[in-house]
Formats: sequence, C-alpha cells, structure tokens
Amino acid sequence: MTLTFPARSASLTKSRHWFEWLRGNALALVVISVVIFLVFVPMTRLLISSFQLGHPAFPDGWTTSNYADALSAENFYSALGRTFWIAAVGAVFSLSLAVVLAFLVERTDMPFRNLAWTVVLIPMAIPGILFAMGWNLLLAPKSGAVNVFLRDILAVFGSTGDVGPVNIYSVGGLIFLDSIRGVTTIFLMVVGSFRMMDPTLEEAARTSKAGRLVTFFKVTLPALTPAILAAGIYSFIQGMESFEAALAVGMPGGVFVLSTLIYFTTRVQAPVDYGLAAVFGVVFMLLMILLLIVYRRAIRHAERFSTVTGKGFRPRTISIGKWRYPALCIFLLYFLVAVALPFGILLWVSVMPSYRPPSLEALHLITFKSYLTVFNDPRVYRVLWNTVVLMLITATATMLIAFFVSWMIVRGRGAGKALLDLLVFIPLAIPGIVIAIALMMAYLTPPLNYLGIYGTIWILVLGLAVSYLPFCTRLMNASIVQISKDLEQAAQVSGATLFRTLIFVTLPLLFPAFAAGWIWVAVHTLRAFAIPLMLASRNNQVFAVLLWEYWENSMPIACAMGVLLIVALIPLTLVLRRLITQLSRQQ
Amino acid sequence: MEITVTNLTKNFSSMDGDGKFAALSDVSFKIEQGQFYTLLGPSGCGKSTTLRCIAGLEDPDDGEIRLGDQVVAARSMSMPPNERPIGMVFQSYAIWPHMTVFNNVAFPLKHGRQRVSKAERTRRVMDVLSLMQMEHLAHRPAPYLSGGQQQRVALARALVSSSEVLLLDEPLSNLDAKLREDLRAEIKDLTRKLGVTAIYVTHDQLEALAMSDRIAVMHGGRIVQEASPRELYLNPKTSFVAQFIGQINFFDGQIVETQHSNLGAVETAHGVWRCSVPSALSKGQKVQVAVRPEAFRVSPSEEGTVNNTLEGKVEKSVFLGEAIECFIRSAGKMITAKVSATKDVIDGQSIFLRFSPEACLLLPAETN
Repeated sequence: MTLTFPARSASLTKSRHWFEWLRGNALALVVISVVIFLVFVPMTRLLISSFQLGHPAFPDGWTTSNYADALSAENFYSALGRTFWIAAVGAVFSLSLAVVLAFLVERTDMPFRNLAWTVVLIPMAIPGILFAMGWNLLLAPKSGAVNVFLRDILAVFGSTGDVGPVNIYSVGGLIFLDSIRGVTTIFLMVVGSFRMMDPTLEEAARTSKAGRLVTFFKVTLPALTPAILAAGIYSFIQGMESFEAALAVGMPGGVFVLSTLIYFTTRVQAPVDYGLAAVFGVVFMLLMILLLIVYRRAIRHAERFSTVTGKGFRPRTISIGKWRYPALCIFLLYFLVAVALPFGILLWVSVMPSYRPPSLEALHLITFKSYLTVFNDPRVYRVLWNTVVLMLITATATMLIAFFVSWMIVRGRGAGKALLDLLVFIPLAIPGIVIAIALMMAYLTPPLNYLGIYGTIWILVLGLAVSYLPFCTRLMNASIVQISKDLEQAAQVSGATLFRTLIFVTLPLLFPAFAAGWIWVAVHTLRAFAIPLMLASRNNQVFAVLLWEYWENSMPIACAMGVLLIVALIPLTLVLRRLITQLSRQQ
Repeated sequence: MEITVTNLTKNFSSMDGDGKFAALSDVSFKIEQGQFYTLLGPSGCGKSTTLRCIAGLEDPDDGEIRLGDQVVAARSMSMPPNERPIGMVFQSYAIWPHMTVFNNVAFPLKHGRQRVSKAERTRRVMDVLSLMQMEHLAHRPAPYLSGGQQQRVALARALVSSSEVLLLDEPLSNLDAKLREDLRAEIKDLTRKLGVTAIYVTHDQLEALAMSDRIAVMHGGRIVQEASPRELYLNPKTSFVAQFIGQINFFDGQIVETQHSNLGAVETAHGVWRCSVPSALSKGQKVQVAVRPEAFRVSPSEEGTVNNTLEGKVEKSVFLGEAIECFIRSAGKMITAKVSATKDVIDGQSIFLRFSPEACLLLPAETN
C-alpha cells in the first residue's frame, strides 16, 4: 500500500528499507491508526455484541437468537417504518422551506436580508432537546399551552373536552418538529450554491428570449438540482438519526422510532437487553450506510454538475415587487415556530412555581425560585465544569484530527488517501445513539475496559469526535485546497520537516477555517444530547443531561436551565456566523 | 557545489486512463561549482520537473542526482527536500502571508536543518535583508509587499541558510518588464558574489541569454542542446533551438556546391546563396537555411556580389524604436526582417534584402 506524502511517495514504494518507509510515513500511519481506532473499533465491537448472549462484559456464548428476536419483534418493524416515514416527509418539508428561504435571502430584493440570514441561523443556538421540550409544553394534548388556548376558543362555539385539538405525541408531531429543525442545516448547504451560481447561465437564458419564470424553472432550478438533491438526502439521513424529538414527544405518546427503541432497550427497560440493542444498532447502521452510498453518489453528481466557479461574482437579484414584505413574513413565521414560541414557553415556565399555561392571571405568580435553585445546586457547577472541559477538549481534538486527516486527503496520493476519505465519511451514517452503544460495549469489555475511560468525559470526547469528524474534515478539505502547495513546499525546501511545515505554515494559514470549525464543534458539544445521555454515569454528566433529569422531576428548573443554555449559545452562534461568512468571502 | 544529473527519467500517468507519458527521458547534465545554469524550454518541456526532482519535490523514476559527492536521489531512494542543501525560489514567490518579512526569511534558520541561536538568526536575517536592501521592511507583514519586494524576500529566504545550491523556478515571470530587468541583473550579481551554484528555470530566452553561464534547451522531456549562450545563439544544432532562441527565418534549399573558397552554395526558391557548409552535409542534400531577422540589410538594388540577396514586397512594417520590423513576402513565403530604424520602409514597396554568408546557418532538413 502506498501511504504517502506528495514529497516522498514514489521513492517509498520502491524503497526496500522498511524503517525508512516507516519514518517517512509515521504521520500518515498515526493518523490512520487514530481514525481506525475512533471509527472502526467500536463498530466491530457492536457487531460482535450482536452475536453474544447476556451482558457484553460477561458474555454467555455465541448466538444468533438476538437477530431472531429482533426480526420477530413487532415493534421493530413499526419503529423502522415510522422512522423512514418521518424522515422522508420531514426531509421534503424542510427542503422546500430551506430552498425558499435561501432563494429569498440570496437572489431577491427582499428587505432585511442580512437580518433574515441571522434569523435562519438562530435555531442552531437552541438544542434539539429544548426545542422538543418547548413544543411539548406548547402542544401536549392535555396541558399544552396552545391546546388550552385553542380549547378556550372552541368552547365559545360549544365544543367541550379536555384534550386536544392538537396532539404532538404522534407521528405528525415528530414530522413537524423534524422538518422545522432540519431547515438550518439544509439552508446552509444550499445557500452557497445560490450565491455562487454562475450568473451567465441565467443571462444566457434571458438573452435567448426566455422569460423570468421560464429561466427560473428551466435554468436556475435544474442547475441547482444536484446541490438541492444532495442536501435533501443529507436531511433525510439526519431525520433517520433524530433522537431528541422522538425522546421528548415521541416516547410519552408511545411513538417509538429506531433511535428511541435503542435507548429504551439499553437505558429504560428492565432488564436491559444489550444483545437486542446491538442488533438494532447493526441494522440501523447498515441501513444508514446504504443511504450514505446513495448520498455519496448524489454529491459526486453534484460536483460534476458544479455551477460554482469560485469567481467572486454576485448574481443579479430578482425583483419580487409587492411580494417583498409577504416574503419577509415567511421568515417571521419561521422564527416564531423555530425560536420564539418554544423559547417563550421555556421562559414562561421557568418563572412559574410549577407548570401552567401562560395567562394574565398567572402573572402574579412569577418567581425566580427555579433560577436560584439552579445556581445553588452544587451538581450544576460540577456539570457545568464537565461541560466546559468536554467542549474545550472535543473541539480542539476533533479539529486537530480533522486537520491532519484532511491534509492527507487533499495532498496525499495512493491507497492511504482513499482509505482515510472513506473512514471519516462513514460516521455520517452512524447515528449518535449507535455510536454511543458501540462505545459503551467497546469500553465496558476487555481489552479496552483497561483504559478505564468508561464513565469519564473521555468516552464522551470519543463519541462526539467521531460524529463531528465528517463535517470538520469537509470544512478543512475545502480550505486546504485553497492553500497553494508552493507555500508548503517552500517550507520543506527551507529545511523544515513535514510535521513542522504543517504546524508552522499550513495550520496558521488555515486559522479562519480552523476557528470556524472549532466553534462549530463547541456549539454542537454544548447542545449534544444523545451521546452524553446514553453514556452518562455519575461523574461525566453534562449540562443537557442534568437538564433532562430535572425535566422528569421539576419542569420549571429544567426550563430555567434551558433558558440559561440558550442564552449562552446565542452569542457563540452569532460569532460562528460571522466566521463562516468571512470564510466564504475569502474563498 | 557540483551538481550531476544522470539519466533522469520520470513518467506521469496521463489524465485519462492508465497511459503514461514521459515527462523526462534520460536527462543528463553536469553543473560546475558556482555556475549559473539555465534550463530553457517551452511549457511542458520538463524543465520544472527536472528542477523539482533536484529539490526533492518530485521523485524520479530512474536516474541519479548528486549534489556534490552526495547522492540525493537514485533508483531506490530519495532524500526528502528538507534534508537537501538547497534554497529555492518559486514562481509564485510562496511568501507565507501569516508572517512578517523577517519571520519569512528567518524560517529556514528557525525550523530548518541547521537551527541557530536567536541572536545569530537575527544577525543573519538582517545581513541577507540588507544585501537585498530590504532592512527597512523587515517587520512589515508579508502581504503588504509589492511583487518585486515579495520576490526579493523569497530570494533572501532561499539564501539565508547559506545553502550551496540555489534553485530558481521562473522567479521573474510574474513581474512587469522593467522590474524583471532590474531583478535579472540583481540575481546574477548576487549568485556571483555568494558563489552559489544556481539552476534557473525559464521559458524566456532573453532572460536565459542574459543571465546564464550555460543553457540547456529542453524539448519534450529531453535536452536538445547544451551550450553557452553565445554558442547557442550563433550555432543552434536544430531548427527547434534556432527558433526558440530568438526569431529566425527558415528557407528550404538544396546544397549545389560544397566547397568554393571556404563557402558552398545552396539553391533556394529565392536564389542561390553562398554560405559555409558544415562537413557533415554533402552535395545534393536537402537543407534549411536559417537567417536571423537582424541579419538583413536593406539594399537599393540587386548589386554587390559578396552578399546574398533576396527580393520581396513589404506587406507590413512595425516601428519598434530601435528597429523596424518588416514582414516581407518573397516567393510566396513570409519573411521577418529587422532593419535599421533610419531606413524608410513603405508598405507595398518592393525591397531588396542583403545578408552576408556568415549570417546563414545550415541545418539538415527535417524529415517528417
């Protein structure tokens, strides 16, 4: 196998001195080993556990009965079907909305477009679990604030009853939440293509006597189709893996999807059935890898079709005349649903002594007792410390790994490059929940249990790093491509070793992208829920997990914690936005 | 430091399919200590690949490269670039934009093979910067430099570690004409002063002629002629070299006489011309007569028996200042001539051109 550095590779394939070869490829070998360790080891352990009886730490021999059990369980098929259905419909909704928003922001003369941009990004600051909790409070069939409000109105027309009219504990509810949540990511994925699309394509259509609408539907949209399609499949993959909404509003209504089924089997039901959970995990993973193959083909297609030429032009904006303000209303509505309403209800409940729907009569009950409880709880500080440490370590470690991996993917040659590219892409297919049980099984059993990282923050770092690696390497790939090879080669002919070249030349040049990726990981670590929850034990609880614990006991305190978390995340998200815009401007 | 390149061969796989094409085949040359050696050729001729093999940025498939006594690349080994005693200047300058001028130049002393103390580093960096008359810019961030200044920084960086070999990959091609001339002289003086062995890659024949001690003209991955600039200009071995080094006119002809008071005779469509016939050529052989545009003189009529003459009609003339470039049609062929600017040349006019037998260069006709 040729591992490879551009500067040395050919000689090394021929070199018979294995020591020389090892020395020359040390960095590549280390990086590939780290990635294999991160990605491959837990997955193998999961596969092994799926064929074992009993607790993974004390296996009772080999069996295929786990598979037989899983495949004969009725709730497995219904959960599988439901997962697909929710993800598919959710993807269609969020894709349509995101495309409309991206088009309005980038290509029309809608007012306040800059503000609109920010509005679309704000939901990033709201962790999925808080969004789901918020809508649970708003639309729970009995006590949901909106439902209570609607019932009061319906009562005027003589309708009675103490449930409904809307039930969020349902497939429809999950679809609603997933589609709103999916918008931000898809928006970010397609907005670049809208901005960078070569305007001459459209101008050519216009000069060929095509009208505005014809141009849009026959030229603009088809040119962007590959990008939109790729974003759609990505959104579908995300929907399949979605966990928070399914936990917060699906489980109360008995609406199970694959991810909550795994959670239930390993963390809730008694006795816990690891073998069964492993099978669910394996099936889930295989399914996702299949989807990933489809996704990869779609993006390969997208690259071939690429309309993004990288020239710094700005496409002409399209005048939408009297529709300018109605268009802005779409953003307002989106903001209301994605941010204002769920945040508002969290805020309201956090200042109530116990849950009650918002009303004028309840105003006199306002109290900051919950906040005081939060600030006086020593556990909160311990958890806060854990969270901050986890954030710093995860962001730094993930970005450093991503940097080295990307450099080898972009600059390397030979089999090592292809292997790495594949290895860091695979985690995109592995749902957080599956990564978590795989890690759990791997680090509870020999030989890895001797590392003693189960139950510490480090196992969370591993899990989160794996799941963020695909995004971070993609980000770094794009930036490394921009750096002229000459700059690195100049360092090498100046006598610097490869490692020094990377640290003192390449890395500083990548600083803007590195910083953007770092903050992206930091924000996501603060919001992370599925992995920390699955791997939580006494000493490695993070903020979001403690919050969930409170949610099950005292809603106002959980809401107070949620409000605090969102308030901390909003500035970080805005900084991230700035960095990303700067990056795209550079490129 | 002497540089010896022996049978250097490198193949690149072509863009589509598994076909390979030879980027370099059997390139051999030897450079003496302190020589300014130029690899000259059109783009894609393999000159940059040769240089990058010497730098260690590419690995040859076959052949050997020696720097001094040390083999740095051979069939089964290749020393990484950071271990070779070289300094290199890139076409793109490759100045690191995140550092100041000082830090750019100090890099080889800070991160390179021979690291030196901070005080020593400062001294040497300032020395080389003052050599370039750039001390006052030492603490300026690299992006705030003009192209010429950036190229000077690149040169300073390549020289600071006192490497004995300086590699220059088209360092002047991104600069404007005036600056190019200044830097050309500067680079040549500097390498002479410091006694480094320099390899210079360029596609600009003027640059090559002005700067080099020796020039290797490359074409299609091979060296087609290696000689001093003067020799190359006056005595090109092939029509490719003749054409590449300066402008030249070719006339098809046949040798009708090999020896007559040291001069032979060649019959062309424009008349019979006297010129010296190399001993390798024989009577009756088809040849090409090559004449440089500046060898022509305008003559009022077809007189004067010593010189060869040519009659034609001026199709177009361009006033260049130091000369007039005329495009003359003669016997269906377009000829370029550079004549004295004091002459009156009128488009459409019939004209007699005169040129001495010494100005004619005989090359065997290309067989294809």
